Amino acid sequence: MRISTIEGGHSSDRGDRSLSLCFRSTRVHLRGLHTRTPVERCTDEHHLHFSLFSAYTQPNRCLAMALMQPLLADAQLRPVGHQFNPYSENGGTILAIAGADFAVIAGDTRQTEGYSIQTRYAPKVFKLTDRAVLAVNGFQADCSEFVKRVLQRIEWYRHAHSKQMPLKAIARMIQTMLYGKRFFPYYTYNILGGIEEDGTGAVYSFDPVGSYEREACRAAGAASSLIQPFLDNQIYFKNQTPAPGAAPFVPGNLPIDVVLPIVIDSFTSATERHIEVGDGLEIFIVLAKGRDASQLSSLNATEIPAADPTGERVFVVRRDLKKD
Amino acid sequence: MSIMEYNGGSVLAMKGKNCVAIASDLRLGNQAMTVATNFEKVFPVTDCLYLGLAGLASDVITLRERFRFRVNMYTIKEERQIEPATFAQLVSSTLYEKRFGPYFVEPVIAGISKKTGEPFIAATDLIGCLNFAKDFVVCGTASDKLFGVAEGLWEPDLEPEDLFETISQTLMNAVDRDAFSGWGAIVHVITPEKVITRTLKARMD
Repeated sequence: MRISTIEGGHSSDRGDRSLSLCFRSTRVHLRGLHTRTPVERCTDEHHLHFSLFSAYTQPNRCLAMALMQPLLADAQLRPVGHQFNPYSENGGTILAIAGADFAVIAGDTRQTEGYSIQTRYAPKVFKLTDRAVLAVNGFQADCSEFVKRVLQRIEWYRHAHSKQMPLKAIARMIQTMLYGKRFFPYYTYNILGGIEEDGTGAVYSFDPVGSYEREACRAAGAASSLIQPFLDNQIYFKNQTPAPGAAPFVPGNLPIDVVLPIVIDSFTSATERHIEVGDGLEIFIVLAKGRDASQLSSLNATEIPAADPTGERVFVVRRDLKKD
Repeated sequence: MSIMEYNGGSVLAMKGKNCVAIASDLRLGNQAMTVATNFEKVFPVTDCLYLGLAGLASDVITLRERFRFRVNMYTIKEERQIEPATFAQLVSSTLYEKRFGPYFVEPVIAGISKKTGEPFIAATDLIGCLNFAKDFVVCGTASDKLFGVAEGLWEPDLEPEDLFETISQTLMNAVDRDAFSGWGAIVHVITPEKVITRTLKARMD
């Protein structure tokens, strides 16, 4: 059995096995703790107990054995585990809301690891095409790698088809790319927002392995549990009933001047109560073709130049959030 | 499995203008299984002081009775009703007595001072660390959701009816995103004159 192989042949028969183990452990101990027994050569529990038991059955070795016991525990004969965890979690939160002819995609800019702030400006929201904006949250390294690959695939599509990739095609592509790494996933929560080919605002939300859905709104990331029930109430009108005689509520049909304050309030609320949210807020607004942009003028929005100036337009609003 | 999430449930209290409100869900669970949908977690202490207890159901009942006893003793000895701030200290010290083998509950206190007419809310953790909030306090399995919604809906100086609407919407939308809370809700709005108690028609799934 394996115990005798540890020292390499001190023991001649079964009865001596425990003794050789003791001597060895003593020496290991005296030599210093840096002598580590490799895992695969380590005594497993059963063998160790067997040999201890045999020592107690031989009275002349009882004392020696009793003295050895604390050393045995110290002598690092137990298995040493090594694990590499390739993921980490970098905090922050994202959300997106669809309107009839616009979509709003927003994210904070804080990046954390544990209780430390790594940077106060790490963008989480990216313009993909003139009509698609992607927000990514989760493990920052996977996020940047994923966005890089999505952008490359979108460029390939443009070269192959001589047109910009439609939103629903980007959504399906993202699901394929995520599921393609089903057994070593990108640790990313994605929310895609933009304008569909029929000119309606749309939000697609994904889980890390590609399960996705078109929705009117979605929050993801560290403070998603704080923001999502608020959006259920304010965007989906959950637990609300229209006044008698009033028109029924239609989710995904709110005007932009109602939606933007909800986005800003969501992030100020999350900043107030979640330590991983704060520093800055980036709100991307995608407007359908021909839609009037005058409502954005009061917000100090800057337009991101479009490939096709006659089509959809993307604006970005940057605001400060609390930095504490 | 955390013992604090064994039975589920959430409690919330909010301050308004000369009024306070306290509300809880009605679910009693055994982990993922719902056992009862009439388990109130808010109890009257005096006519204008209420106590909410979220956490392990057996400790909720034990503490309800223990506080009933200790408040009765106080009333007899002092020959007056207990003030909300005093009761908060009583809750805190009762929990801290069991510092190294605690009751698994998070209490929420809401009331109006008989002396000053000031609204009062407070909450403690399971070993009695007091939190005197100016706006709202939450506890239970939906606490993170409650924080998010309350932070978005609450505003200062709400009148009793507006406070009722705010606390009800906060509670219902938060517990609808929590698997361990919900199955109905009850709200008490305490004003100097009266207490308005309403059972809400909520999602039952």
